[in-house]
Amino acid sequence: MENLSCNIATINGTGSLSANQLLTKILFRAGWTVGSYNFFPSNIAGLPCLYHLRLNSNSWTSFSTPVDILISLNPKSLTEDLQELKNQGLLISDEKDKVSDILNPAKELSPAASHFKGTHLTLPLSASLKEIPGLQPKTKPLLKNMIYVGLLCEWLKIENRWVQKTVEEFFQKAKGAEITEQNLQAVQIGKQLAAKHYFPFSLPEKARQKNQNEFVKGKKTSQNSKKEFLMDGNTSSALGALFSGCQFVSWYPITPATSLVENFEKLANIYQIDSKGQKKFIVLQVEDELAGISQAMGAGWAGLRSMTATSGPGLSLMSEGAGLSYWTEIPMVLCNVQRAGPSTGLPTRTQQGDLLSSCFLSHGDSKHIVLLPGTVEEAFHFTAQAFDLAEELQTLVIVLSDLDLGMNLRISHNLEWKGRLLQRGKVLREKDLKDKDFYPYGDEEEDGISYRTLPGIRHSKGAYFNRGSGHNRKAEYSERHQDYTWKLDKLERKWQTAKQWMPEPVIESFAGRKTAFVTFGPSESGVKEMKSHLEKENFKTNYMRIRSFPLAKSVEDFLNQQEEIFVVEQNREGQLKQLLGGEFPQHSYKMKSLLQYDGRPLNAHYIIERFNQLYLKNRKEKSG
Amino acid sequence: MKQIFDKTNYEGASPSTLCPGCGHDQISKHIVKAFHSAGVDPFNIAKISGIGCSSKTPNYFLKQARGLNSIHGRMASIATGVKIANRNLKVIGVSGDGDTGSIGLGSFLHTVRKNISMIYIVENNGVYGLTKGQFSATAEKDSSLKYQNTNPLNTMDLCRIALAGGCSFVARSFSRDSQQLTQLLKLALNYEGFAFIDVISPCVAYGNEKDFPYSFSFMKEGKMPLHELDIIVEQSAIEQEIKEGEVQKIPLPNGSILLLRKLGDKDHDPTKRDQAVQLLEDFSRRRETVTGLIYYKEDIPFCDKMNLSQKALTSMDDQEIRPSAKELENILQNYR
Repeated sequence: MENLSCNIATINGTGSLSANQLLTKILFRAGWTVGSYNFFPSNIAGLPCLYHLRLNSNSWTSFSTPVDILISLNPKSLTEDLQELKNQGLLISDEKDKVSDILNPAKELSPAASHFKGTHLTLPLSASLKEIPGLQPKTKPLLKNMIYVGLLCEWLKIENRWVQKTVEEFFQKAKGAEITEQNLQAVQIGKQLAAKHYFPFSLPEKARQKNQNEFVKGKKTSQNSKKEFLMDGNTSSALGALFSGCQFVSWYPITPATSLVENFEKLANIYQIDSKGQKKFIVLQVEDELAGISQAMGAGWAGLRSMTATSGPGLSLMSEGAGLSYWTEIPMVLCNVQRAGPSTGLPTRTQQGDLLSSCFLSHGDSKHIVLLPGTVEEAFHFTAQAFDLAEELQTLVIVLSDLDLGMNLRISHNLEWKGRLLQRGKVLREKDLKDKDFYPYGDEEEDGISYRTLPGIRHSKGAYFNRGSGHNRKAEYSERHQDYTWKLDKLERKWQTAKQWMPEPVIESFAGRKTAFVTFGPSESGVKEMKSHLEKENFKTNYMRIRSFPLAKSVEDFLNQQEEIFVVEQNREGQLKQLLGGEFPQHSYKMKSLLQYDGRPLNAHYIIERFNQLYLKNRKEKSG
Repeated sequence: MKQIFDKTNYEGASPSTLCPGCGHDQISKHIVKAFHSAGVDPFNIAKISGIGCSSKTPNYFLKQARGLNSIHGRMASIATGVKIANRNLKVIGVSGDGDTGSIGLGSFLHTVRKNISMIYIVENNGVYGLTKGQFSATAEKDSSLKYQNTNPLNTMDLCRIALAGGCSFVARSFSRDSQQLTQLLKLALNYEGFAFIDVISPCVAYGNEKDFPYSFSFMKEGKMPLHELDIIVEQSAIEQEIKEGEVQKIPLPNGSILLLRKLGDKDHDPTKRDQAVQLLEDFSRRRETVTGLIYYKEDIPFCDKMNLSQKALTSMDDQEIRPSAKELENILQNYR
């Protein structure tokens, strides 16, 4: 088999996420190319959650349903979960849950349950826990999860050293020797159960194994070799902020941005402490998101690298602050980890619905630099780069990721950090002012970027009063129409200057092909899988993933070469298509939308079907 | 040696664009006077304001200092960011009763809670001036104005709100009381923490009717100053041989002593929080405006509460704030 996928259905609050992430790490270490997706409710305990794992010989790691295996530890959600299991799939349940009753043909079943023709294995998961001596009742549900970890590890023929090492790392330090031993025993029970039962699938090839083994064995590898790691995008963004020299975060807790800030704080508490044990940074949990953006802006105005992090509802509240940053030209960074809106929407589900509102956040002619990471590496580099851009361009820079990238574990290539000097942009100190006429909003170099001074500057020429109201080059209050237009045009010149610093899109272009898929964010794997699938049917395409707004120069060149463009994105309105059409109206007639907006990550199987249905079927019928 | 700056360094742009006779312009003059006589470094200040008539005024004082006129109700938030970024700066924020009592109430109260070291001035006149005379939240219940009906809503007393938020420096003054306001500002300049001064500052255009508690004529009759304030260095305090009982002495963190000579009939010890709460309650019942130092206590400023480096965060260089490439490699080991 090229592909093997599994859904693990559990109840939230039972420790299943830890077990599932542990399993993901074991698979990663054992050399599998693994995609992992966690579906969790906006709730603390008692509601269904689902973990999706995908192993693939071609390295396609996108979410894709239906799956081959369903491990059901939540009978209440079974009929729902069965809808995502292939008809010939493998269902595993706990003896205790009496799932056979639910599947009993005599009962009235959901269509999915009645269509299920696969293998059903009922295993004594709960009952087997008796074999572990000295078990506390409250740890039972946690250990039950470790049984299916062992079960899958055995079926997937994973060497014990990966299992042992990973389980020990997870529990030894945090929980002690006894708990570690119990977890290892639970894994062992799972392995023994697996040995007794036939696993009806062959395994996909391990595309990464060779590389990974070499690394783990500690062999000296050349600098170019890939040192992979497993991380979520929020952690990676937090690292990017840390290495870029961010010292100030003011934020309001919100899913799915929370882990970004919490990870930053953990890291800063290690790496940004002075010799007296005092902090060289601050993380402020504030009263609301407008305070979050305002405090970060105050710090940015004073000359510090500062940021806030939020998601949809917080972004809406921050809108007024975003306009102030744009108009008064104060640097700061905003990480927006998107979730499904509008309004409260689905707080724990992913979406790409904030693209346009991020680009044009706030009233008037506001527009912002927006970086669009699609991978964990980019989450690091774009967040780090955002601080440079904010200071160089003296404006708000938004890093727009989403729950899928932010919170799901992904295999990533090594991060290289060159550690450049801080890019402070055009900041004047006392000595620079001596023989110079200084206009706080001047544009001497005609790049739209002014020189600024920082509060505390000890020179009379350096003092001025920034204001969100109309102003002239001297930063004096002005309502003159000439001054207002001049200011708007200066900001537009700055926008044009910014284009050269924007990350170029990822492009795969082939001579003779005139059709393209265009996307952004973490949809790459899913779109490339579709592209590869269609190539087998002789439908050959080019590919572009947009990585910034403003759009880099090569975006237009690419669009020029296409006759037909399918824009794949996760929102209802086709926001990227609108953005591209607005920038390049001459190409808008070529563009068609391919959308998924169900709050789940891009589903490769769904999107392939959808493309066939919308665009390919007609074509085949016509040509046929 | 400490550099001495002449008064012009503390002045601002002129003329002001506010209405002739506006209380706010008088406050600006007192700020100039207080900062000059306290000998504050005129460069090392950040002036922050929100939106409204009051928030235009930082242009009219302390011209050697950088300033930021921000968005409505967010002065306190912006100032918080500035102060934490560079704790060496003296931060002075100017706001109005709309900016603080309505749109920025949350921002204000949460900055009080944090005890950010700054001077927070509300230029309080009970009306919205720039939008032509609507009642603000501090307007007295049942009061009337020429262009408005009667205000049916309860009065918001910003000093009481500050106390409720745990503010340790609460004062009220009047824009025309040069002596008192200047002394309060000098006291605030010596204070490490959030110093709140609610200054009654009549709006000559929309809130100056005789019976409106924020008018010049009302304040002339209804203003009740608590004390005459004097800040003296310790040595001269001993030389002056202050008689016990006549004055209250409060030691200040820098070694000076604050002397409070009672005015009028009210005994008030500003170091007692329960007295401060009672005082405001009593005067509001009497329909009089008590002015002076209402509550004073030392408290740990935010930057110290948070164990922030003594060095300004903005003064740190690459080496101090960025981990090395090797440290990134170490971190990534945990994810392999």
